[in-house]
Amino acid sequence: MTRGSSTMSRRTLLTTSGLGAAALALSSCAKGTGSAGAAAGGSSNIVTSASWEDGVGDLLKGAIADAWSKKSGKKLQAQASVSFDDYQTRFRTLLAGGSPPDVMRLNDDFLGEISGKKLSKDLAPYFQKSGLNKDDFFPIFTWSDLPSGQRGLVVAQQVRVIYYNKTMFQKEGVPLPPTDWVADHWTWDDFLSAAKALTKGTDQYGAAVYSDTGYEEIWSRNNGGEGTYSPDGKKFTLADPKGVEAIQWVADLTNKHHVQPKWGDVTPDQAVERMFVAGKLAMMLATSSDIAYYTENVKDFEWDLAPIPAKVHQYQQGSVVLYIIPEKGKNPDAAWDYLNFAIGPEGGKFIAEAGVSVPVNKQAAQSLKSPGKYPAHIDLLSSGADHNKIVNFTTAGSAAVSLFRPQLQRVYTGDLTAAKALGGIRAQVEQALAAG
Amino acid sequence: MSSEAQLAPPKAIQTATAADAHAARFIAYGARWIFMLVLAIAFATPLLWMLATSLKSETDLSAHTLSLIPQHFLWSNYAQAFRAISPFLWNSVQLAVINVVGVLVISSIAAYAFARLEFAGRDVAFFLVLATAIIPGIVLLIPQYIIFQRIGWVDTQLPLWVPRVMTPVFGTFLLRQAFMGLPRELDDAAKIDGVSIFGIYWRILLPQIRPAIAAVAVFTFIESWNDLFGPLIFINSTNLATLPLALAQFSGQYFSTTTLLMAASAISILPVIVVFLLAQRYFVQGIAASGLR
Amino acid sequence: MVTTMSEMSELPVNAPGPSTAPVRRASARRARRRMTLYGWLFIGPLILGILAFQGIPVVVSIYTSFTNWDGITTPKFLGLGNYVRMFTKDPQYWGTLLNTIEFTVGVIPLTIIGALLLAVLCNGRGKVSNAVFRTAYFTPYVTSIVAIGLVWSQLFTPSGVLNQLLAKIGISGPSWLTDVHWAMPAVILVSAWQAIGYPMVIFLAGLQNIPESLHEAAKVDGASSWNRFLRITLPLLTPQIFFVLITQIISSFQVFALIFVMTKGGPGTATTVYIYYLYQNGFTFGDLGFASAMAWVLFFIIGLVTFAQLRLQRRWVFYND
Repeated sequence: MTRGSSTMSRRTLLTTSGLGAAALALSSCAKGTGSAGAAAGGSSNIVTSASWEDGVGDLLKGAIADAWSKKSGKKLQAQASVSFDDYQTRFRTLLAGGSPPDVMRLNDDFLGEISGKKLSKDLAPYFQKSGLNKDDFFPIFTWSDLPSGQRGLVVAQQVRVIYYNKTMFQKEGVPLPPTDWVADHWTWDDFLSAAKALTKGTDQYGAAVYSDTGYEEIWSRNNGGEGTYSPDGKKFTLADPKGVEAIQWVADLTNKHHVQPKWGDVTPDQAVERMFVAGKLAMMLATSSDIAYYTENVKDFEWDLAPIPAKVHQYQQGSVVLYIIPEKGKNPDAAWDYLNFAIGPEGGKFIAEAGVSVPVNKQAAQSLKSPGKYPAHIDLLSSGADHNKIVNFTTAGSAAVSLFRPQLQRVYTGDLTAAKALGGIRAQVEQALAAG
Repeated sequence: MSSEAQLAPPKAIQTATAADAHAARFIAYGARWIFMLVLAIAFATPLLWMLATSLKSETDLSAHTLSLIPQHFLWSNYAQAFRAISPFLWNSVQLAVINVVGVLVISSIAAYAFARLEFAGRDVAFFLVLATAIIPGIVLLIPQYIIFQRIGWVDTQLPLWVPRVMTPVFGTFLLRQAFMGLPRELDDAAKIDGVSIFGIYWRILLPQIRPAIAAVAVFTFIESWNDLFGPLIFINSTNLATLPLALAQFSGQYFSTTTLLMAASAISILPVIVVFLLAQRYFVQGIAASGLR
Repeated sequence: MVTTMSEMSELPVNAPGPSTAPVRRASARRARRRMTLYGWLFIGPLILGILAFQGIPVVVSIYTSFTNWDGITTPKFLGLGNYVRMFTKDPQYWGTLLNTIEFTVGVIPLTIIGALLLAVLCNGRGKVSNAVFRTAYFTPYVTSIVAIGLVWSQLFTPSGVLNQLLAKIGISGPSWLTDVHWAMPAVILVSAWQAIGYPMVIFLAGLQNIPESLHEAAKVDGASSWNRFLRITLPLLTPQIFFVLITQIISSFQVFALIFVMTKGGPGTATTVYIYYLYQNGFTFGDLGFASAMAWVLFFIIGLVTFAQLRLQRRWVFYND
């Protein structure tokens, strides 16, 4: 057995680490500063909120919250931000716990479920009390109005457009796309010929469309179809002839015309964004939320926005920035006050001037500004908001997607035709839609 | 394997075979080194790419995604990343210390009991402990959350260490194996000397399994340091958030600032590597191993 | 009644002779009771922790598996509905189970044999070289899974580093993560790369308890290093191998984070493993009842495997007492 000095130092080491750990353990009982406010007498001057990291979220808990504070004398206390994927887990536990934050961001995929189960408050009474006029807002404002009530609030929208490398177009002598939502020389055929002219083997690609899953709805609708689901949400209309044709057209960009990068090359995180920044991609379909990234990182060329190419129609599919007031939230009135400010002209102005998104308030959207020198035609976003057609509601959207998207991937790699893939999975998808 | 009496070969042949043996050993030694180096490089390459990315600008990353050498070394990435995650560093450290000390205390004493003491219900208890490890934790998330909500533990750090410290299943299992590997003569000699049951654990056996203790310490540290689901679910306030949550700042919904994310990840790995380097010194011969036979 | 060695050593050293047998039997009983007290005292905190933090959630979870609970609203009792659906009506269930078994069968040998090899290699005489190499092989284990997913997604692109290397030796690599046949091997590779540090450290710790004197004696007898490894090292490492086998099998059956970050179950359902599908059901589709049912079936499966291993341990695990 060791004795003497080594035992002494071992003992002191053990005692100090033990005491240290004990002290730390005691201090870990302390509540977070976020809770402290709410716990202290249930103060109704504090509105707690939860969201995931992104540009609009940052504004909402930052500049907009501060401006609202100054006006109302109340405060917004944002919970710790998490990544988009992780929020999926978090929001469910927040609602399960019975003490959710007063205001919560919600992934639009889940509004059907949350609204149907009445887990968030119906905002119609609040609209009336605040004297809101629906005409002040873009049509997408009523997207959250479901049979179970308008239990979600669209605060802003991301518009889908074509980003294009202007310098590359000019270099190859290809005519630039139109600067408004018109079909002039911007049909599907025009788009394809532009892409062909801009493709150089595997060094430079003309277009990337299937990297954004929003294309499914957009292309099928523009082809004259009903979109992914029927209006009652029970039929898988993407598998109808018009939808199949549209999907095949996009897949052919890769496998037949070779103007689109291979599927395996677009799947890694941000692969397409990087291709664009590196000047290897002429056009890409993406939402307006990417503007901030390109403003920051494109250094070598000029770029701009273009409308979606037209066929029978010229729709885009926006995605919404959606917030709810949980039914069990402790402070719904103050929460509404905050949200009302955010969708008002003042709150919306912050969003428009940052150029990160199109606020749902029409007046605020007029101040839409480019965050930098590009894109020059950011006004395409507000006009695009009027061409919005969002995917029809279903109660089993996630289940359906998990069934048909893997099949679509096989179409992209040339394994299956769109007809076979969609036809083959149709029965299962409609079964899921019926069950949901 | 007993040595047999052999006629000693003539001296000349002896030195010749000795030289051959030397050469063979040298080649084997060299081959072993080369093999280890190649493996080490293969292991490290993804991490080297991570380091390289952390020093690039986003534009550079887009243009030369796969290169291992940045165009310009953007050391400012590290400054920026550090500024963004340093508020969360202390929380992670605090939790790691509590977790390591707590787990070592509880798992070692329990492991000793499972390994050396004979008492009623011991094997059943051990099965129970093992069974706990098999439950997919993710289904317990919401029930646990609701319980912690009711007792007011949500938005404190308590759910991030108390459950782990009180249920150190793998630690107990590993230390039990380690205790069981020690010869019984140690216990018996101590008992004859009049050492108490606790004393045998504390003074005789525990010092013998230092390598295993070091291993448990390292793994508990890592588990605590990289724990994402715990803070994700149980922490609301930003001032209690830990490093894994902090990395979310760089992952937006539509795009991430990959370069900063890599820099932040590199910074957060550093303390773990330091802990590992300190702990791996204990992977040396224990006294029992060299002494008793 | 036979008194065991340990019980006898509980008696005071100057115990009286055989004529005091009844007294010795009584003190033996007292000694056993004291032992039981000590035993339960020492494992007390652990057992208490399990009952407190797992007990109620486990009961709730088992009950949930018989309902359609979504975590928030009132559940509806379904009886065995979830279980029946899982085994007969769910189109993906058996596929994910097979995927998980495929993953485990792929990862375990790679990880354990690899770790054994690395541990032996890193146990040489040079302290510094040991430290350096050990850290090199261990670092993947400590890296955040988000970073790992990002890094390897890049390496696996059709024009990525891995395919570039393969091209140099004349092989045209597949598009790994988007190829239904190669996605799972890719995931297995990354998983083994990341996980190998853990068993390596366990084996390193275990190697230290093998007396150098045994190796010396064998060397004197003329045994080759391979022979020494086979006859001395391996048998004495069996407690650690046993531990690693059990823990690695448990964690392979429960692989989740890597899939979540790298492939999200794709392409198609090629890498949808059990826990990933469980998570989808629970948190994306909102069907916690079904997810709980899946969890308990998995518990049963892993439990069986672990139980079998525990039973078989007597045949091949060599403890030093």
